Amino acid sequence: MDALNNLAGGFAHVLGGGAIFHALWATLIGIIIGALPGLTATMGVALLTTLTFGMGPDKAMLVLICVYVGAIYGGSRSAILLNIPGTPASAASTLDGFPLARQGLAGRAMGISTTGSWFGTLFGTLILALFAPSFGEFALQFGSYEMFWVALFGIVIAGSLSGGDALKGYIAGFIGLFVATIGQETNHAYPRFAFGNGDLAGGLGLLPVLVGVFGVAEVLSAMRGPAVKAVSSKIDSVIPRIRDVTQYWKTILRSGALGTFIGAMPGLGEDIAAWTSYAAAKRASKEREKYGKGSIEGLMAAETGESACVPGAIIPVLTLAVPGSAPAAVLMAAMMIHGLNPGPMLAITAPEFIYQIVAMLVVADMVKMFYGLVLVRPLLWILLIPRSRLMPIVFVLCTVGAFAITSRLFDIWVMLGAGLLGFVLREFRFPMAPLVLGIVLGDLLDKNLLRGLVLSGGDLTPFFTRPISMGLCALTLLAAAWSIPGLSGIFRRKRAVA
Amino acid sequence: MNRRSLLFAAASLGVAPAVRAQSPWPTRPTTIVVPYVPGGPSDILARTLAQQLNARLGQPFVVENRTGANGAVAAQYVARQPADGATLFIAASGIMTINPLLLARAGYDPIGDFTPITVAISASNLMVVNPSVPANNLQELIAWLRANPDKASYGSSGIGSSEHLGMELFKQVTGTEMTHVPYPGGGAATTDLVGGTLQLALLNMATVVPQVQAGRLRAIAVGGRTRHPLLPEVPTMVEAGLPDFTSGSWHSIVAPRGMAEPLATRIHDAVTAALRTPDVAQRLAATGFLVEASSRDGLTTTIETETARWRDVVRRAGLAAG
Repeated sequence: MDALNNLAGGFAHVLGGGAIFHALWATLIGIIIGALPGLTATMGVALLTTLTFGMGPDKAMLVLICVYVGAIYGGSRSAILLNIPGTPASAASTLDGFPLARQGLAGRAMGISTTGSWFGTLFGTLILALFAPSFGEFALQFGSYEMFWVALFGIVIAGSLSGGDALKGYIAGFIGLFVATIGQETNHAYPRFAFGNGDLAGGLGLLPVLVGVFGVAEVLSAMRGPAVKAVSSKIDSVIPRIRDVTQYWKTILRSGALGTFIGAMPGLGEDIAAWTSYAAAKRASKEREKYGKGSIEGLMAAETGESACVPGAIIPVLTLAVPGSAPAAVLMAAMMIHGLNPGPMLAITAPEFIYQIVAMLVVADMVKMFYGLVLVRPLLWILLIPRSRLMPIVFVLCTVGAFAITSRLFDIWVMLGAGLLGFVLREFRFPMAPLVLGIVLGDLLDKNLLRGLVLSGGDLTPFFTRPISMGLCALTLLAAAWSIPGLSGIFRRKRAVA
Repeated sequence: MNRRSLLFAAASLGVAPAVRAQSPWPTRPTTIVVPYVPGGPSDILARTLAQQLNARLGQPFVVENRTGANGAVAAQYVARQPADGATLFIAASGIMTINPLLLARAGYDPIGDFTPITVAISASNLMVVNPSVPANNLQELIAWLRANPDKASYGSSGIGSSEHLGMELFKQVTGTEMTHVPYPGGGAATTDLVGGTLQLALLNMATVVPQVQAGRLRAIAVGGRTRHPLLPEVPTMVEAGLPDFTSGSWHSIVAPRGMAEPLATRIHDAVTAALRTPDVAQRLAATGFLVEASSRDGLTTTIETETARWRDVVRRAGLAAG
């Protein structure tokens, strides 16, 4: 009962004094930032932090949470309409979102994205309200040894993302892993594949590469010829369908749980949440053949996962003062600036604050749903613009996005190079998903393996003997065995017999 | 050459007539260059200052994040800008003292390439241990480390960070041995320290204070010259028995080299006045920083003395330019 009273108190506190007005503009700004390729949720929250200096802490937090929630959701607009993820979190949404749009179902795809995202944030918020402390404790058990296995597990299940030719999927994945190793390694700052070049020693940023392989490659594909017919302008259903939810409730729950869990792990973020939810949904799906060709379930899984990650990433901020993702790190800095001291003492000094954050997340989620319904029609107009007019604009936006994060010309070269590579790979029907996942997970794998080895003095045993490591190792081996066609057949037959 | 261009020439030589002492600044938007990504302490300082200066001087102050090579990219960029007051730089202590010692070609000279404005803010590092370490004070910690050489690992927020070099200095002064484990930031190191993978660390105050207050980490000593208001019961390193030992970080404001004295003084006065505003001081204190607002000479002295100190540590730890 206490919790309910606290929650009611949280809502009453948050909803006063023009809160809805602030939530409305902040979420819209978040969606716009998210939808522009290259501008990320992290950047959005950081830039808005300055604007909130003059506000009270409650309003400031509400604004920043709305921007965060909005940006993660907004990234899927461009993923669905243009095949270009607005933020790294939405890369997985291109896999099925864009094929749906090509089939003339862009409105439906955005509806599914809205529903999935709405449920995801709501699910994560519920977990935050109920289990924040124990979830935070569990996250602490994940050190370098465990993170190594998490990354390896991700790489193993990534094989299932390749769509057609598994070999091409693995080749693309290894290119991604290779890109992740360029630059100084973490323990001794030893430059790898830098050839004495200072810029290369700094490594290739995920964002310029992502904008390149999706954005620039898309522009090049469009320039190559009129092969791609303008997407049908027929306006399909723009209101999310109840049936999509009832049909895929298992996927929504699974993706929500995965997304929240990944959010709570420091060092993992919305992008990994989306990929994992997508891969898990594909494995469990009865309609696996539809994935990559416009699967409603696949899009739903990716959207639910990335949006559940947002409240998930806030859990360790509140309970441990350790951010679960990059935007959550900026959010934590903003909390400190506003004199709110997140961390283990929060439950003692200001327990009501946790419930206020819950209320803010719910408000942001509702406003997101509102825009999800209102913005569909105006967004569909983008599809009416001829691609010959649209693509130059997209190219400029990509360049701005790649440059904006660090203001380095080098990043634009990286974007162009990655674009060219992405274009060639696409022409030869290599999938882009394993490539991006390879970059994301390669960094995690590399850093945690090296750090783990330094911690253990070069000894490999802690990777296998620590309890959680052992479990994750078994899970990885099982997933690897499952991907071998002969073995998975045996598993399935046994299950059928049982 | 007409009279006007003569006047300009005179002004640019820094021998402008007294009337010009009240240099018209800013005459156009000023860019504050931040060497790291948005959200960190440099960024917070820049944006807080930008807002204050904007309100006080009625001209826009724009924050620009130029990241890369531990801040060297931004430093090289600022060094090439004209010294007309349109570019200011948030130069963190690592950029002004440690980078040139660790990098073979940093590409800038902390003293020669910049006009000093002020040491804006400073933060102490705090020596913390995981509660499983049987030490309640500095002497017990040193004794434990000596009894267990090479058994302990310490975390830092990266190679060449004040936390890394501070700990290397600690090893050298106390004659102890332990393994350094760099992390991509203090937060990640804190997680492993609380989780027990690491035994100790000398980390930025703001990062670890919540953990100390909750009893998840034990505070041993503060790296500042004085005790810290957030943990008044914790002694300084000097009080705990290590003479001359300080460890912390600071952020300075500098401009490109060759700025005319009156303009530099005017910028110094405006920036320090903004820093001393109670609102600003309070905001920065919340993130663990204390406002210094030093004199211009104070910054030069700080850079020189610290560079000398760290040069010695870097050399003895075998970290020199590679």
